[in-house]
Amino acid sequence: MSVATKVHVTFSTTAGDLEDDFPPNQPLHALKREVMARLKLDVSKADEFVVVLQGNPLDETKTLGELNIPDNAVLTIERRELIKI
Amino acid sequence: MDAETVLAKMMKQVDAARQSGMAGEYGWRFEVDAERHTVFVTMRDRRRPDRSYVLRTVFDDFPARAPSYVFVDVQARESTPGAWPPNVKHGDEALAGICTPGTREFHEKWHLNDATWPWNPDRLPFLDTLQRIHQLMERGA
Repeated sequence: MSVATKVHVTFSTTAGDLEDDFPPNQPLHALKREVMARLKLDVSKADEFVVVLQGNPLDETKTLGELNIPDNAVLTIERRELIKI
Repeated sequence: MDAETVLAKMMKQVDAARQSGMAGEYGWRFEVDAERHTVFVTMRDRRRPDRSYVLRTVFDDFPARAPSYVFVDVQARESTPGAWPPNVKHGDEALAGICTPGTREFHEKWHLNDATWPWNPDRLPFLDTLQRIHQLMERGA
């Protein structure tokens, strides 16, 4: 059985979407920072955001492969804390 | 600003939200009432899809003023106590609103003249406010 060398994923944010092939063996927290940088978002605030699949926050210490993220998945990058003042 | 310009600016915001990957992931459904500069967005809790709510957004005077956001009854399209998701409504019924950046109620009632959170349509687009409200709706349940 062949092992996928890339996983096709769309990251969706309120600043725009980024669709690309990503390595399955890179931790999600690193991918999140890469995506935020490519979307020209402030990477220093990466910890204020979480990566979510179908409403469930993902363990960002794990890789796309470990999380069994399928090809063509859409992952949203959402605020960790809400501002309701 | 004339009505046509307001409508054009509203539709630019609506189209950006519709085309976002978030719209599909969150399951938003949009209905536009162009004459009234109003957009109805049906929202569902992703973990409890049997629960849905209708958010009414009025863009009159946009972008000079932030749009007004309230949850309304699915059928009557009026704000009623039962139309609101738990723990989202701020204020009493007469002044009900959503206290989060991007809403008229936030900028013109509860945070009027708050220099920390000035109304800025470029920094607080419709999509951003929709996402904030969707998260409030899901976490409030």
